Amino acid sequence: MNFLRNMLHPASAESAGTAVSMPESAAAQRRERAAIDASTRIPVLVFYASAVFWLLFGSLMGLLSSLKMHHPTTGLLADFAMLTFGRVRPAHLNAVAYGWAATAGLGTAIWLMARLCGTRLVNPILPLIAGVFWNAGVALGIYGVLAGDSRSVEWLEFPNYASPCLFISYALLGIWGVMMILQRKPGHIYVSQWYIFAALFWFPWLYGTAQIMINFVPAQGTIQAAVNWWYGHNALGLFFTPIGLATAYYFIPKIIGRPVHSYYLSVIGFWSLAFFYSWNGMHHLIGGPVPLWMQTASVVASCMMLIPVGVTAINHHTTMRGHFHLLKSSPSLRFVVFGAIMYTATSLQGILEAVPWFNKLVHFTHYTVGHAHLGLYSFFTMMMFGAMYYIIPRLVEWEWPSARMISAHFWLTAVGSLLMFLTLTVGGFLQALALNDDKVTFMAIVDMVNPFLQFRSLAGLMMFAGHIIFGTLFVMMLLKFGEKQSGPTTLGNHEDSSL
Amino acid sequence: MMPLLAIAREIEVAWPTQWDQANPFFWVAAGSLVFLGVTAMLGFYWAAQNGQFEKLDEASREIFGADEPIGMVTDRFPEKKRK
Amino acid sequence: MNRLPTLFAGFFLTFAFAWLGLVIIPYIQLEKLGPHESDDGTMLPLPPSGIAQQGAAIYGREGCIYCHSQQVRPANRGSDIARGWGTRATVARDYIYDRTVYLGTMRTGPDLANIGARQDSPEWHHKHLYSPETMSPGSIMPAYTYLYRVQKIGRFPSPDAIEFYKTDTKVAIPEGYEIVPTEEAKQLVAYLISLKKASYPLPEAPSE
Repeated sequence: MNFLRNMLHPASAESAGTAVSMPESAAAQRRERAAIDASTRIPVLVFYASAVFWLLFGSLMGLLSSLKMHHPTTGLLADFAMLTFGRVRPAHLNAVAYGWAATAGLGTAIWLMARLCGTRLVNPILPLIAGVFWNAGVALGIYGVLAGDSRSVEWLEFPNYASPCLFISYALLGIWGVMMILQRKPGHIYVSQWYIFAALFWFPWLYGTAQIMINFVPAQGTIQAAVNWWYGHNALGLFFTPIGLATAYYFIPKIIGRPVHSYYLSVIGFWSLAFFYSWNGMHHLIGGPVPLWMQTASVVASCMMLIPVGVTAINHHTTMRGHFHLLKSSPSLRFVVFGAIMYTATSLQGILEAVPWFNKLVHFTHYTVGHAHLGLYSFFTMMMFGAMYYIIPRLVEWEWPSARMISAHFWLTAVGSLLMFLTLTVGGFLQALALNDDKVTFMAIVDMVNPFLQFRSLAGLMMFAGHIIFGTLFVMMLLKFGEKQSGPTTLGNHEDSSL
Repeated sequence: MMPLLAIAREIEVAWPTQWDQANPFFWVAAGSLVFLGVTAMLGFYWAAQNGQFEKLDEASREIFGADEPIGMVTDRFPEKKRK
Repeated sequence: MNRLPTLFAGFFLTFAFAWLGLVIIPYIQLEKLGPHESDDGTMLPLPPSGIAQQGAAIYGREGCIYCHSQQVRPANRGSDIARGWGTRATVARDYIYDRTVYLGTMRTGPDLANIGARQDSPEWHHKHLYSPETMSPGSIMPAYTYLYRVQKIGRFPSPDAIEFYKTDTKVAIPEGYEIVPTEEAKQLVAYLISLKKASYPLPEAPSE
């Protein structure tokens, strides 16, 4: 009963003495904040370290599959079954989506939960075990894909012996999330927490449904396709997007020291996202063999996405207004704001792609691939880089060793990802026009798209170079490399800092 | 409501022929669908009436504190420590 | 909105609403979809043979779906029919026997929903899988040489060896050797030839 009362009335928890009492002075509060950050150190660093590993592995796989698209037969790798295009490409997707993006997102979510609940990590062993299971699942799954056990269902390629690991890991995190919420300090639940709670709650439901209906007890015929894209779109919309937005809603105000412009808009944005995004999936099947009413419902819901996307964009922009000069001095802000802008861009583009007359053109082309990279890379990945630049110094109590390397990382990944987006968008659009003209032979289209794919490899190489710099920085941080730098991040420097 | 209207309009067009005899599960599911959607919207209406959307600016200040007050920039590029 | 039960009720209602709408109702609508008995008593679509079903697993394992779709859109929603990829749009009933549905999302290569009706020669498919460039100049499809064995010719050549013409300079076979498909290659080709999803009329999808 105590449990229930605390949940309903967090204020009464304080009188019962279960919550951390609020420190009076700024110094005490600073100590408390540092203690909360420190309590997340090991689980968050485990998630982050594995995320960085998968980022490097995944981008290598991506580079390899990109090269194979314009040089299919050259090199020793062509005759090797494990490295055929049809296996390397899903290995790339799964390594970057589940290995990198989700792992980095979960690490960030754990840290944000502790800060926003205002409490030290409870049961740190749970997220740690979850991290181990998650990585075991990803490793097993990617091995399975390369070894020839791929399920060939986009976003759900992992064989049946790997996916339960991911589910267990996620369920553990969900249980841990509830424990954290019950221990939170009294006060408001900040909007970032809504997004994180929602993502923790929705994803097991999504993943469980999709795995059962497609891989474990396959449903008949194109029901599988419908479930596939309901899952695929919601994994982006109801897992990655909420975590990315939770990051933006915390870090933009926190870094510039200004509350979010309109909290009201953020509330509208959240609920309209929950209500409409969940209906979006079938726009991946426009013209396909599923009932027309489903396609129609998803097209309508996709158009309604203008509401959450619009209010979020307006809100972030007006919060930032007058503070754009800070982009020059804050590395985290630079990545996060870039990500927030790209969120708006990719969402608006996604709405356009769901409109049937446009979908008829660009469906089945590289245009969609460009869109996917804009969303998962330019938005989500950059958001995670931003969060990691802010969080890691507070975990290891060491400042980033080189400003120049951070800058190089930013420019290589930002420009690289935009170049990749541009080349795929232009190439994909030309491909779309040609595919829709039945007088153009198919082989002429293959030839026409080829230079764009070569340019894509170049853009990918830029991003990969950025990742290597980031990986190096990360290892340097873990080893507390170099001479001590000064910054606002580490506790010791706070005292003598003029900030 | 729009997806519901779309469903209502398309049911006649896209219904498979085997579906001449009504399946009771369909009506349970369709009924639940309407029920959940309507409940969600009534819930938002109730929440708005109940003052859940008021005094929101307090919540937006939740992430600041005495140690990191409003107006304090909390991130910048590292510099070599001055001796 | 600071009370957890309110928040969670909201999470639950919004998500369950879409879950019922896009997962459960379609499931109820489509799960009992069966074959259609045509006027001459044939049940359509034709059930696949065992070897074709094994080939479908190879198709999935090698990731063919990342470049080839298996769906023909109606004439007013793309050039699929005009390109000769099918005589009609594919509908849900065409897929009822597929263990895993390979609709695909990308057309780096042509649509394969009806490839068995367009190209029904096993020899062509074997040559194409072994050396796509030979059969289709300019192709960027990977070669599946690992599904074939290059072996020394015994007393007699193998009956199912693939013979490339001498003019096919793309394939270099040492003198006295032959290229023989493995079981997996035969299964994959049987599957490809069985793909005739848009070649027979159904009441909901008459030929256009």
